[in-house]
Amino acid sequence: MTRPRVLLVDDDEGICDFVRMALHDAGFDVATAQNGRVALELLPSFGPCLILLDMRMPQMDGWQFSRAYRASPGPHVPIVVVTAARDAEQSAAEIHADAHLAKPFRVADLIQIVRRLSTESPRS
Amino acid sequence: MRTRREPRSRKRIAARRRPAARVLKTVRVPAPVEPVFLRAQQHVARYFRDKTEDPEVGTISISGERYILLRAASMSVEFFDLVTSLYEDKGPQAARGVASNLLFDLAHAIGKADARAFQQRLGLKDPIEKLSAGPIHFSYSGWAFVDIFPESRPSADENYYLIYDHPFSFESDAWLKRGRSSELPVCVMNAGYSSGWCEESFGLPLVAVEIECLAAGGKHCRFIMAPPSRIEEHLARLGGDGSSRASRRRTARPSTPFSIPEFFQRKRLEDELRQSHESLERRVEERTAELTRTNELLRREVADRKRAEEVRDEFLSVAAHELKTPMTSLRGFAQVLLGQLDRNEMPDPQRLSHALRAIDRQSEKLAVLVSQLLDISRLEAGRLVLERTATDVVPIVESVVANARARTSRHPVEVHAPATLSAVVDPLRLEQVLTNLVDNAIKYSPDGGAIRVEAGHSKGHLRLVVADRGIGVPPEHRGRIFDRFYQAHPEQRLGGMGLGLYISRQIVDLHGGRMEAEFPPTGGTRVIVTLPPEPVTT
Repeated sequence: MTRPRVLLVDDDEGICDFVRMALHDAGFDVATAQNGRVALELLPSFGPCLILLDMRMPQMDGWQFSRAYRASPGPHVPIVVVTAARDAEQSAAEIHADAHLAKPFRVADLIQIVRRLSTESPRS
Repeated sequence: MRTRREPRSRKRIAARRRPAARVLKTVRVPAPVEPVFLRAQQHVARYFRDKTEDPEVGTISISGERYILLRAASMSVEFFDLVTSLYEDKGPQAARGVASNLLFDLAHAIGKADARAFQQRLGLKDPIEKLSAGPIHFSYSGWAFVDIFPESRPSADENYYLIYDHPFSFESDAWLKRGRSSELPVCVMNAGYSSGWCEESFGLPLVAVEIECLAAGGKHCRFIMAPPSRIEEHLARLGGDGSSRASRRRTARPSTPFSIPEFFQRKRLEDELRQSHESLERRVEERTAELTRTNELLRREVADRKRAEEVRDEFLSVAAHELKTPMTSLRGFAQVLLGQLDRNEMPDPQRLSHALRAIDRQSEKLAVLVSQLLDISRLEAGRLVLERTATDVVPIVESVVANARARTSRHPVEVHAPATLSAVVDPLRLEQVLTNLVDNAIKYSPDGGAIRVEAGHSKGHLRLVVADRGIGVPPEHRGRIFDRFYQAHPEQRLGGMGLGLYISRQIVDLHGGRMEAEFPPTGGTRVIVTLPPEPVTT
């Protein structure tokens, strides 16, 4: 049985660490990228059904990543903005994300959102 | 010397008429100056004898000078009436002021001009000679007869003083002939003409005041003439107890209110008005400039405050972000482990250890951030106090380096220090500074690279150097790296609140030391801390 795959893009090692654990326990395979550029490289081979995206990252931030991702050929999977900035909701709106999670968040909320969005069919 | 001065009748004067050469008949003067006036009488008489009237061409000439005849009443009572009607809305006092000023100015100007023309024509030089022609000319031209009192002192200085009567003033005559009387003296033109003539004769500003007037209920038309600066003094003397014996005997106390004329008062008032306008304009300009300056200061203050608020907002946003990140991991790991326990699963020891280490690391990050915030708050309140003690600095350096090595595998950390190095410092704060500098060296060398820490003495000072081969600081930002909230590479999202170097610099400053940054051409950053061996009292 193949597990659904989630790509987490975040520069904080601690966050990458526990999100990987939590989603693994919930039945997902997780790959992590410490910035947008690494994420773009990983995407074709990894083929996630969902992207968890931090906004403030070195080298390529969330805004730059989402522009590049949307410009790439589809299909495109849902994006969840996960940020510690005050304006998580606004950032999500700006990049047309499907959901947002403000740091610090409840693990249960993370799993619920990931489960909901990963069952949706990919869009073009 | 005459003992009484009653206005003489025309008949009496006519009776005294004798040959012009020997008897003074067109003026009365004190005996000592009679000879001068006799000569003047001869000159003036000769001048007026050569008179031709030619109505067919409309000319009256005297000794070749053209004259005009004016009806006396038109320049006195009738003129006052005309102006009074024109100034009905302003009241009789204002009207009288306007009429008097006009008549006085006109007569004073005519008096000056006549004196100059006549004196030139006769080639007169001596002031008394020049003066002497005036009263006689006055008689011949029909203005008034002049009776000068013996106490007059016509000297060419500020003591100049004349007291005299006009027994047949054309002005009071005009009022009396109409059966009219006035509250104030009316012989304004006479006063103006006489003072104009004398002023021209003596080259001295003079003013004449009619102190008693037949048309105003007086027994005489009596005048005094003096420089404007002295006239009030004379008026007070005549009106008060200080009057001389002579004036007590002969001069009645002024029986009517009088006013002191001022030649071209209009000009002075205009000048004053203009000056007041100009000073008002200047004040308005000054006030405007002042307001502009204040406005500009306020504008700058508002802009400064706005900028400070923006910096503070940005800091709060960064600080919140920095605090939330380790907190997210802390809560995340705790919830992952709790979730397992809730599902009655036992986390395997490796995962447990990994999670607890992460929790410990994140707690430490949080603790550092919180103590930075506390330090900032203490520094801003001026309450960051050092606890200095004689310290061996080398163990501190080694401990900081050991901790750094534990945190990074990609940055070899070299130490160059003697066996011991003593200084009087706050050991905990010095450790904080070194930790911050080494952390920065690691943080700003994202691609790895050696970090070198040196400790030693230089010119009796403790010298600490932390050098990296990292990304350095762009030249345009180098002046600001010790500023509060400043981050050299915000676009790199390397984390932190922009407080570390600022706090370190403040701690070094409190020690009386210096912190400087160098940027070698080969790249990287060298931060040099110099501390005095003993506390410096500032």
